Amino acid sequence: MKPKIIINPLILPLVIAVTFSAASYFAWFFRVPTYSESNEKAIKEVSAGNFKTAELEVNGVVCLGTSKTFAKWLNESSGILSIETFTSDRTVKVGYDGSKISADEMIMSIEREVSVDGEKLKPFSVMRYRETANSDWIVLRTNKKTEVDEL
Amino acid sequence: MQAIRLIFQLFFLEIILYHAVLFSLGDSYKNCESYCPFGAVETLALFAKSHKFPCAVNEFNYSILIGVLLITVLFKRAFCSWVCPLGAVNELITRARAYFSKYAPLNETAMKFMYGIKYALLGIIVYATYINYDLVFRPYCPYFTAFGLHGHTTVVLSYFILANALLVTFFIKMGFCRTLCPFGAFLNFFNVKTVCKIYRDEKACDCCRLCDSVCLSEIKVSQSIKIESRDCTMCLSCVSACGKKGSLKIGI
Repeated sequence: MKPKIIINPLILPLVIAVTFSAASYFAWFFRVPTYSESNEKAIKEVSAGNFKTAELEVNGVVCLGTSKTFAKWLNESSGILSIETFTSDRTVKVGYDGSKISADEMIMSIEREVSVDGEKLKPFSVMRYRETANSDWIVLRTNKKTEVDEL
Repeated sequence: MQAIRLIFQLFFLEIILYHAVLFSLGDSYKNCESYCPFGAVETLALFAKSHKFPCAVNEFNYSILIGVLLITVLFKRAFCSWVCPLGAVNELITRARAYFSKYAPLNETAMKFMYGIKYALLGIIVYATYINYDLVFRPYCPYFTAFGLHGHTTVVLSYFILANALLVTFFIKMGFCRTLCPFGAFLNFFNVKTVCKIYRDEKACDCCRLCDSVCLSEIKVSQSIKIESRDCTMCLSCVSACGKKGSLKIGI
């Protein structure tokens, strides 16, 4: 039995290479938030000048569960309006009321300690952040292991 | 062609190990599970239900799964022999084992039973993941144990399972891939009527059975006109080994 069309065997590795490159590109291009929440009512009440956004790389946001914990953790601070987490690169987009909280205060709030079995730990640490999508990242630390990882 | 396949296997193996080392050193967020399409399979039902990525699975796993399915529909389970790092390790063990002594032929009924194990495993894993809302299989996953460099869920039992999974390959050619791999079982659902397959030209073939002897999946290539076996991983060992050039071809 003869095939209708004969294919050069080299097509196979070519298809694999192209497919995997396209899949990687697709994943980077169409990022889907792992978890998102927003306080629409509060967003409407905030004046346009005070509504600010920050993008943070937060170590400790690794899955849906930690994303929810992070949102609860951050919502304990006032002025947080929206949170979107992306676990593929551990980034978080936060919308906040600039009149109630600044980026530095937000980072301090994220990095606050918690006591576990008498030991003080930082469940989340900010690796770097930027205040707009086009601004440069401000790097705070480079080691991507959290204190919780070390336990 | 086999040299190109080896380059592909080493390339993907190197990527996984590179990220595993970086992850363990705290220089990367990506580890072996970031590239695992089976993570997407495990959580597919959960994702359909909640429209959220459960546990550590993200869009990367899903886009890779789509890519793998596309490759499977076109070229059977080529992912297993060209990309999968665990498949590469299994092939290495198979070749090493075959170098020292030939594999004994197994009873057909026993093999049918063994083939069923991977489907049962797939069902159990997907169901357990769905009801627990977590990647419950991860501590027992041979891939995560082998390439996670002692990842956070790896325990002593994980290494025991990995050793036993690889031990199967000592008794059955590509034993783990053919009888235990749940991802292989999942891919088989898309491996029914693939676009491309290997064709044997009966007139050109002199039935030397070299193709049968080199086939890692023990497919009787010399007795088929076109290879429709779900075990075929398009490794092209038969095409490369064929003495009568042109009697084995990839075609549509």
